[in-house]
Formats: sequence, C-alpha cells, structure tokens
Amino acid sequence: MIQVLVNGVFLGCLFAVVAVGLTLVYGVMEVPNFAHAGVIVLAAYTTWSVEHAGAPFVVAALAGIACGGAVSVLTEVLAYRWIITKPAAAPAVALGLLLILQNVALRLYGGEGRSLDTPYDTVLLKAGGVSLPGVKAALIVLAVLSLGALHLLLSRTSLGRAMRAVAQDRDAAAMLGIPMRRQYALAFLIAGMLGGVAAVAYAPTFQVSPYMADDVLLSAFVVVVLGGLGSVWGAVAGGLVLGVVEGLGAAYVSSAYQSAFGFLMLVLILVLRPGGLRTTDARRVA
Amino acid sequence: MTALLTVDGVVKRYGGLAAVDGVSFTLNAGGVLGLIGPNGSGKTTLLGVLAGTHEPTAGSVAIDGRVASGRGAHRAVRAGIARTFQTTRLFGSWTLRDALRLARGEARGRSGAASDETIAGLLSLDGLLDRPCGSLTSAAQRLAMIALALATGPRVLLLDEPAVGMDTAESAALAAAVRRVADELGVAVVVVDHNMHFLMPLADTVLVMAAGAVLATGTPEEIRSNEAVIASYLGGA
Amino acid sequence: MRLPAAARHAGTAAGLAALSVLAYVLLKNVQGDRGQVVLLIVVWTIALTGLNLIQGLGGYPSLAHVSFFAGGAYLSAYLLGKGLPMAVCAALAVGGTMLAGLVVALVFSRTRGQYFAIGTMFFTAVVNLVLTNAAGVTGGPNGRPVDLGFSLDATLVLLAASLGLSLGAFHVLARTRFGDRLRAVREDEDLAQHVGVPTARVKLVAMVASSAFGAWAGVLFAQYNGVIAPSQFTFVQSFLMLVAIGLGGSGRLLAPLVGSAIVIGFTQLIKLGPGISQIALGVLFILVTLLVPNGVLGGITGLWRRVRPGRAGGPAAEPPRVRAKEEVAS
Repeated sequence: MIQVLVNGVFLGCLFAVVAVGLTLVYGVMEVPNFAHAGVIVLAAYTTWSVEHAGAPFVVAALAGIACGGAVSVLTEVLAYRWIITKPAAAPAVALGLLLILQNVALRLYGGEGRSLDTPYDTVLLKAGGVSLPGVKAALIVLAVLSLGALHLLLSRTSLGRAMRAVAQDRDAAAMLGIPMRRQYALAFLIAGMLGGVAAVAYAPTFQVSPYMADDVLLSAFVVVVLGGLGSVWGAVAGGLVLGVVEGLGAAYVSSAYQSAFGFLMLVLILVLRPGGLRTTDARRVA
Repeated sequence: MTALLTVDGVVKRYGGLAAVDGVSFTLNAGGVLGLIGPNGSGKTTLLGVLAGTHEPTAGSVAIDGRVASGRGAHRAVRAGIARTFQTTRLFGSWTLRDALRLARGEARGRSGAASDETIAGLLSLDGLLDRPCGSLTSAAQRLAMIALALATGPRVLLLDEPAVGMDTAESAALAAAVRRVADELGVAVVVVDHNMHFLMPLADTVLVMAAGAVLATGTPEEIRSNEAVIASYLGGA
Repeated sequence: MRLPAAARHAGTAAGLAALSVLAYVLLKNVQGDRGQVVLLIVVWTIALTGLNLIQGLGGYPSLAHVSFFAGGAYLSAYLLGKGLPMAVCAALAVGGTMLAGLVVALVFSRTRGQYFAIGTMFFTAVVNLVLTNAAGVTGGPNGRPVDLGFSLDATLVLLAASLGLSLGAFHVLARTRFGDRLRAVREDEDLAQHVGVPTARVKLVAMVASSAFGAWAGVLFAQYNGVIAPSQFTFVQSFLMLVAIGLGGSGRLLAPLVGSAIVIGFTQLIKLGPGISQIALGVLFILVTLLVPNGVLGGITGLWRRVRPGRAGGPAAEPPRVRAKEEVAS
C-alpha cells in the first residue's frame, strides 16, 4: 500500500511540474498549451543526444532544460503572440504546434524509443519494505526544487510580481506599464524550462520517443482542471491527488489503463460540478 | 390586479458572501424601475438572477404569479424575461434582421412579439435591419441589443447599463426609446445605470441597493431627497 | 441576380449527385496507392460532414470524432464476427456509437472551448487505449480482420452515394433553425442563451448527429479496408480531421471535401519522408488559422467578392438562413 502511494507521489510530482507550466501560460495568455508535450519531447531528445555525444549527464540535463525553455519561447514568438486577440483560435494553433514539434522530433531522431542513462540508474532506495528507484527519487527531488524556486521567483521578485499582476488582469497590468511581451515570453520560458525538468527527470524512467509526453500532457490538463486554471498551488495539490489516484488505479485495477483513471476523474469533476467548469475561470498565478 | 413581475426575497450567495441579500419588489406592466447603487452593491447580480443567468440561493422571481427563476437563461426567455448586457454583445456578422428572426423563433409558445419593423421603429433603427450588426455605430449597436431582447416577445425587459458610452443626445434618445417600449408594448422595464441624468427622468420608481439589500424605494423625487441615499450614494449629484 | 430558392436547391442537389457519380467512377477505376487516396478522401468527407456541424457551424473543436469513426468500424466488425447480417450490424454500430456520442455529449456539452478540446482529446486517448488493450474484442495493437458484409461493389456504391447524401443532409440541416442555433452558439454562446437558445441541448444534438456521420463512415471504411487497427484511430488522426475542417472553411458545405483532399493529399501523395508532410500540414494549418480564418473556401469567396464588387456582398461569414415557418425537431 505504501509502495503504491510512493509511486503515486512520483506520478503526482511529474504531473505537477508539467501542469504548473501549463497553468502559468494559461494564466498570462489564456492558451491551452498542447504544444507543451512537444517541448518536453525535444528537451528529452536534446538531453539524450548531448549525453550520447559523451558529455556528462549534468551538462546534458542542463542542455535539455535550456532547449525546453528555448523551444517554448519560440512557440510564443512565432505563433501564440499573433493570436492574443483571437482566443478562439488558440486550441487549433496549439495543436498545430504540437504536430510540428513532434514530427520535428520524429524527423531528427526517428520513431524508435531511446533510453536515457543517468548516473543514478542503479541506485535503489529502500526503507521498511518500500523501495524507490533512484530515477524516481530524483524526479521527486527535482520537482520539489524547481517548484520551490518558482515559488520564490513569483513571490519575492519584481518579475514574479509583475507576472502575477498580468495574470490577475491583463488590461490593468498593461495600463500600469508592465511590458506585456516580456511577460508572455517569460511565462513561456519558465514553462519550457519546467518542461525540460520534467523531460530530464521522466525520460530515464520510461524512454525517449516522439509521443512520450502525450499521456502525461493529458493527465496534466486534468490536474489543471482540478486545481483551477492559473493556480500554481492548485496544480501542485491537484497533481498529487491525480498521481495517487492513477497510481492506485494502476496497482489495483489495471496498469494498462493508468491514464484512463485520469479521464474518469475529469468526467467525475464535470458531472459533480453542475455549473460546468466556467466557475473555475478565476485567473490567478500565486 | 396583481403585479406583472414579483421578486420575492431573492438571495444570491457565493460561498459565505451574499451578493444579493433578500431583495423584494413588484413591477407592473408598462412600468420602468430604475435600479441604482454603488459598485458591488449587487445590482448586476440581481439582474442576473432575474434573467436566469444565476440561480437564486433563496427566494423567487415570478411573472403573473408563475415562478420563472432558477431554470436557466433560455427558460427565463421563454417565461418572458429578456436582458441586455453591459458590454455590447451581438451576433456581429449577422444582419440585424437575421438575429431578430432567430430570437423570435426561440420564444416558442409566446405570441405577441412585435414585428421587426415595429421594433426598429420604436428604437429608431429604421433602415438598419439589413446591415450586419457589427457594422452599426456603437450607439446603434446598444439599441440593436435591446431590439434582440424585444424580438423574444418579453413581458419584462432587463437593461444592464444601456447608456454606457453614449453622449447626452444619444442617451436622451435611448431614454425616449425605452419609454416608448414600456408604453406601447406594455413591457415592464428594469434599468440599471449609473448615469442619473439618463435614469431619473426615465424611471417611474427607483430602487436603491447597498451591500446586496434594498436601501430605499420610491419615486425619483423621493429618492433624490432621501437622506440615507444621499449619504451613501448620490452624494452631491 | 438571385435565382429562386427552389432552383438554387435543385442546383445544389444536382451538383452533389454529380459528385457522387464522379466518386463512384474514381473509386471503381483508380487503382493502387491513388485508389487508396480516393477512398480515404471519400470516407473522410462522409465522416467530416458530421464534424462540420459541431466544429464548423457550432465552433466546438471536437477531438472525439475519430473515436466515433473507430466506433462504427470496430462495432460493425465485431458484430459481423458474431454472424449477424450486415444491415443489422451497420445499424447497431451506428446506433451504439451514437449512444456513446450521447454520453460524451452529456458530459462535455456543458464545457466550453478549451475544456471541450481537452476533454474530447482525452476521450479519444482512452478509446485508443481500449482498442489497443482489449485484445479479445479488438484484436489488440495489431488490429483485426473485418468479414465481408457488403460485396465490394455494394460498398463502392454505398460510399459514393453516402458522399452526396451526407453533404446533402448537411446542406439541409445548415438551413434549418438548428443550423442557425449552432451559428449563434459559435458567435456568442451567452448571448444565444439569452435570446432563448437552449445551448447545451443544441451542442448535445450536434454532437450526437456528428457521431452518426463518423460511425457510418467507419462502417464503410472497415468494409472496404478489410483490416482495422488502433493506429488508424489515434488522437493525431482526430486532430488532422479538425485541421481538415479548418483548412476547408468551417461551416461551409464543401469544407469536408476540400479539407480532406488537402490533408489526405499531404499525408499520402506527397512523399516528403516521415514527419515532413505533417510538419508542412501543421505550418499550413497555423498560417491559415492566422491569415485566412474562413479557410480555403472562405478565402476564395472573399476574393471572388473583391474581384466582382458589383455583387451585393454580405458579411464575411456565411449568413444564417432561417425559413420563417421551419419546424425543427429539437
């Protein structure tokens, strides 16, 4: 049982890191960033290829995170920036970007899965009958560290405060003289780097492939719905809840249908909230 | 004679906060009720409850004694309540005539919606029926939004800050149009607005809200001289 | 000069009939890879005519559509395997898929734009998961064979006829009050509700209707192809369907045909190597979304108006047409 919970926490941390990236972008720009999965894939492949070229894992990981940030900002500059006044086009553009990014990965690296080796591959933590592979422990540590850093950034720096202001009310923030374009780019940069962290931490537990992040992305969207769009702490709490639910479902019902439990959860939320989800339209980042 | 619109003890809570806290009033056919109060006093929420946008936490809204509240906006329309919005909302790429026809078709089982030409005449929109809504001037778009509400054949018309963005001449024309609608179609009108120069000459009765509750009700003259209202809201106006 | 309404409808009907005949000739005579392209364009057009209701007229990007397509294909194949007559299988497959569509619609018709996209996308992911894992029924990741229910020639006739009839059905539906209600939802859902449109029910009906088109296309596809596998019904396919409608021109009668031709053409005909054609499609789709929001057909109509300014030009989007005494079941 505790073993299952630990696995759930591992999943939850992964979902939370991805979901925070989604919610941050949604908070400032109201875009459902489906392309985030493509960012994660490219970051994972970058890490793999840098490591494959002989660089130490830490360097490869940093390259992957940087790549995530760069690709994410590129999507904003090249596409999302042009639809700020047309929110209805956002899902279509986001899906178009996902198609492009995944197929760029397919083109560059081929379709077969690659495994990413880490220095902590062989580590196995054991405590009272519960075992946790090093790769999963590393993901939990990375998630806590990166979300903690994000919290400090949002609450303690002027950049973070400006971003929260934008999320509260775009028009008012623009009137206050906050440079909006920089805020958009910054939100995508942070989201992309978090995607990079997710890629580096997640890929070793699975494998690197163009479609590795699809299921995670869907689960992360459920987390965003659970926690409220635009809410960072909501995403963290929602991530843990969903992680444990999927972990329990995988362990006690069927592991093949793990992500289906996330879908069931989404349906339950929709059915149990008679007003639909419009009530969670409070835009905030905090 | 019973009143056309009966609002009885309407409460709307969000969590612990009561946005509307026990509002009651009645309104007869052809009457114009002005609804005023400071920002956050619950006017717009009350309008939303009347229009079926929000479900009341307690209390009821009835037309001719039949309860019309809490069953969704489209059902409120069928019960005879139509509304406009603070911001201009129209089917921008449609012609006004097409939009009116859709609205008229939706009010099934309700007869007596005025014809397109009558509505256009009342609202001084003659000649604009076949233009796309989005191409009208902003003042005409505000009137077109009222036309759309009238095409559903309402007994009660709710206007949410209809004079926003209008100059003096335009808001005077709007007031005259609303008066014609009330008199000639026998529609009961509830108007929320901050512009006292627009609202006071138009309204038969004024209801002042504060903190979700009714602060005072009376004729415009009574309200102008009401100490409590002056202290809390009207100030020097 | 405007033709009388009856003449214009007769013209449309004749055009669609001619399209069906052309489709039959092509299906019958084009062989090999190109024949496969013709088949896919016809099947997709039938399926996408349904998507053109909910996404095109209603503005709701449904990513569940490929699941309905899969529903028709798999259900009919499964029932055929049980020895039921083909007509019964087809009816049950379409009916069963519509029931699934109803359940999906009951849950998601209360959500809006982005949530709707996320929810229907997840639904498709779960359906694909089931197709891959419930090997006893679906044959698992490698798919399953489909017994011959219709003769090949009957399948070709049905494909060709369904093409014209589906488009014809859309043409009629788009002109009823139901079509106008969907357009009103796309323009401004709150306003639509406040002029009396029961928006949740309109979306629900549109979703169920769209699932019927998708399922019937799936039945025919399975019959023609003889083999069905989960890889034909992935989320990417669903997204490409959405792309096709957007490229063709949302809500326009021929959008499914034009959009299918572009998407299928890109993915099947132009051999740019793995991935490249999809990248090109993605770029094209984003450019069209940004620059020509009304799609290829809308762009052409716009150009036509500019070239011939003498014609009375309406608004850019297709204007609603309501007949005064239309009684629509709803």
